[in-house]
Amino acid sequence: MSLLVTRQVGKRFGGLKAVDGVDFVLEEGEIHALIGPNGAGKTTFVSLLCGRLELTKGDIYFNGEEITNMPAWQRVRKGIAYTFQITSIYPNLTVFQNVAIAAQHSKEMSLSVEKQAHNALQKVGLDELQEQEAGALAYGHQRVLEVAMGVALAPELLILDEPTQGLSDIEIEQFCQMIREVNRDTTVLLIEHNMQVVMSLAERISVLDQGRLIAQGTPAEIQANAKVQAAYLGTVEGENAT
Amino acid sequence: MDFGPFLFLATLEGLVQAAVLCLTALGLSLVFGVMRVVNVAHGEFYMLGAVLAYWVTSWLAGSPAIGFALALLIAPLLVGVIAYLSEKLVLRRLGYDPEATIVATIGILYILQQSALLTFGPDARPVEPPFYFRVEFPWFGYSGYKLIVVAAAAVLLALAWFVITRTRLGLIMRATQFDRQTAQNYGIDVNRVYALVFAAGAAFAAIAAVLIVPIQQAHYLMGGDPLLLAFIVVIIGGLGSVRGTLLAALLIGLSDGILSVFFSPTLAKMVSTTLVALVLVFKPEGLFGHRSRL
Amino acid sequence: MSNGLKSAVLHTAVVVGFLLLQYVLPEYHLLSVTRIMLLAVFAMGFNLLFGYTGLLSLGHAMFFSAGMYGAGLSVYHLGWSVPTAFIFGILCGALLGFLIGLIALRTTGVAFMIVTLMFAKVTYLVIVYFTQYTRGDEGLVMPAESRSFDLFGMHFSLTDSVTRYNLALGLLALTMFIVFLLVRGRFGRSLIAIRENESRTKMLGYNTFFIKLKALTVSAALSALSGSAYALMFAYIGSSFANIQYSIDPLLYSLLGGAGTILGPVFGTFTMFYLIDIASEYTSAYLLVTGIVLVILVLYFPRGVFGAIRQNFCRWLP
Repeated sequence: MSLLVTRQVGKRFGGLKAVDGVDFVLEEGEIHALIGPNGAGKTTFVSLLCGRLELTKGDIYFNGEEITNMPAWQRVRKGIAYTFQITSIYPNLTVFQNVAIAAQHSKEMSLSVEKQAHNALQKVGLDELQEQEAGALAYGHQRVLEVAMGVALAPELLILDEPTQGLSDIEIEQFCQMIREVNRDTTVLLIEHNMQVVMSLAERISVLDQGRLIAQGTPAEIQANAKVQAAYLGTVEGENAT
Repeated sequence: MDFGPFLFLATLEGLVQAAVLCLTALGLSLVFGVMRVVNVAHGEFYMLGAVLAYWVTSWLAGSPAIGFALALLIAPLLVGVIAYLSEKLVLRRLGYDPEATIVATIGILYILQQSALLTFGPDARPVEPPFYFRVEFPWFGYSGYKLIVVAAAAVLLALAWFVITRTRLGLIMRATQFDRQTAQNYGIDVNRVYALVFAAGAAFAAIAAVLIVPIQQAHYLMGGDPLLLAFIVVIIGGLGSVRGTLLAALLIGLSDGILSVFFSPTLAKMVSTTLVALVLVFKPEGLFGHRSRL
Repeated sequence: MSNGLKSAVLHTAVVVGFLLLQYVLPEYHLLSVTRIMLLAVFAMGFNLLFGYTGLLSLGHAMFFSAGMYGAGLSVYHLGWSVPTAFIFGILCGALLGFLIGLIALRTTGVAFMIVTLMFAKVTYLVIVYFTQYTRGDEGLVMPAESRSFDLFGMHFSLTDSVTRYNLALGLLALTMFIVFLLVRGRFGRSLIAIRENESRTKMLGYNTFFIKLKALTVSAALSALSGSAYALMFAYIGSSFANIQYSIDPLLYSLLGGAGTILGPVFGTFTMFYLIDIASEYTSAYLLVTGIVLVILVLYFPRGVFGAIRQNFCRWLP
């Protein structure tokens, strides 16, 4: 069954069509990557999905229920978790408190908040740092904490906005491992620039260009797609070569 | 008196109010516009202007005109110095954090007000007008001094307008307002601009008070109402916008003056304060347009 | 000892301390400390919003006076009994808090401060405007028959200073207990989350508007409880309790004692009350102290006394 479906979703900022009539389908259980050149509208698009921005046209369905006009906090309760591109944590609180705040609205109701927070920290490997002040963590750990907060919600869908940005190669590897772990009971949608991450993680890929969805398919299909190469992949390979 | 002349009288009263309010509100708006902080102590700078005017004129009791002219010079200057110091000693150390600044200026409000109580005392004291003459209209005579107040305010406002829009100083101010960081990169001493703007804002309030004090008397608690009215003007008019501030001051001053003649001033204040609070909630672009709303 | 137990012991000790204090205090100070305990309730109510939720209201006098006038007017004009009027006063404050919250909570930061300041000004003007019922600045003295009441088979005389002291202490202990429960549980966690990072909190499934509305309503109810008790115990209501001074005081108490701590506002109220009391013996310009303390706190001690203690010694302080 499709977990999330959008129909002709669009967002306008004044005269600019940041997202332009996107029909998008996310299958339950997959890791789905959203790629596209800078300014393609990726962050805007996922912001529409999680309710941070109001759309100007189209509808969104989650688990068959229309959520087009639902406020963001309610979508989170329905099971859509979002992690920010620019880390947004509670710098003055401890790592544990950070995750506990998220765990309080976990979809998993049977365990105590403390237990859930603990589980989430364990899953991402931050349990040893739990009494540290979050603002004092290294940048890489802050990114992981951001994901831990998403995981603590025990969501059905976890949206990650450029999670590997600024991480070292080793950290990226650990991160991919963690996402596979999370993916066992959560559908993952991630915006990602790093093609290695995309190719190793994603089961399916969607490509946005100038606010339009220009392709959707398996990594092999996307790599072979001429339109995508023209719009996007070619330039990235060019960059990698230098 | 017939309705027509009565309305005319009310309008004149409103015009005097508006003139003084323009000057006071311009000071507040200037500070918010450039520094992005709300100065709750603004009303006390107004009060200090009036109290200083009393002292200067009573010191030169023999010649009200000279005394008044001197007060018009000394009071704003001294008030400006006090404001300059409080900016340097308090606001700058807070890094102009908006909320901390409000709390700090509340503290400054008490310090100034209570210092005035200590030295000036609890009584209201009159200041003699620099001259007496009446302008005779067909229906009634009217204080010539009040008309002079309106004219003086108009001249001062024109001057301020000229400085802000036509001079290098104004350009520096507007650049700092537009983007603090960039201004600094272009070699503008932002700290100095802030201190001067804060002092100038306070001086405007002091000038307004000196002009009005022959009509209203000086008192250590007189800062409250002008502060509230200036807030109202600044919220309605939109910040940083000199034109908006002046238009709103004219509107509020006139309607306040006119309404106070016909209705109870308490009721008028009640209604206008509620309306302005609602404007701030539902149409915040004017005052806090730069804030992204969540 | 667990952290929860530690803080329970500490707060009980404070209440017991106040309980014992009445046996050593002379009459004049007995009255002062009674006032202090009621004002501390006000400060704790304010602090729930300011210290824990991060919303700085400059208009809490309106909630204090809603309690005061709700209780006072119903006793004076309608002849209600003291307990009924007391509860009614609290409800008035809670309702006002809820309604003001619906409007004012659409703003944040500086705009919220100014909007609350203005609504408090309007409340003050309303009291002055309806002077035929309230006698405005001059105020009303509660009738003699409202100076005592029976409750749970006991007789309370409000003219007796020891009775008043213990009633005030009961309210202080009750408020401490309520705030303690609120800030330690799930609700407290969501308040702190909003204070620290509201937009993130929203994206973790919190209806932040509703939570803030709840916090404001409870905060207003506690402030009204204080005002209501103040009116009934000291038998007087007047518009001076609605002016800006009474909005600034709880801010000052919270800042001094430590915003976002339970004992901070109590300590702050105690200290400021006596500072002002001493200053007023020497000068009529005693509010100068308020101004100086505010500036010093903002500049050098933004965490206040108990905030600093928590920061440096015992992190478990709620």
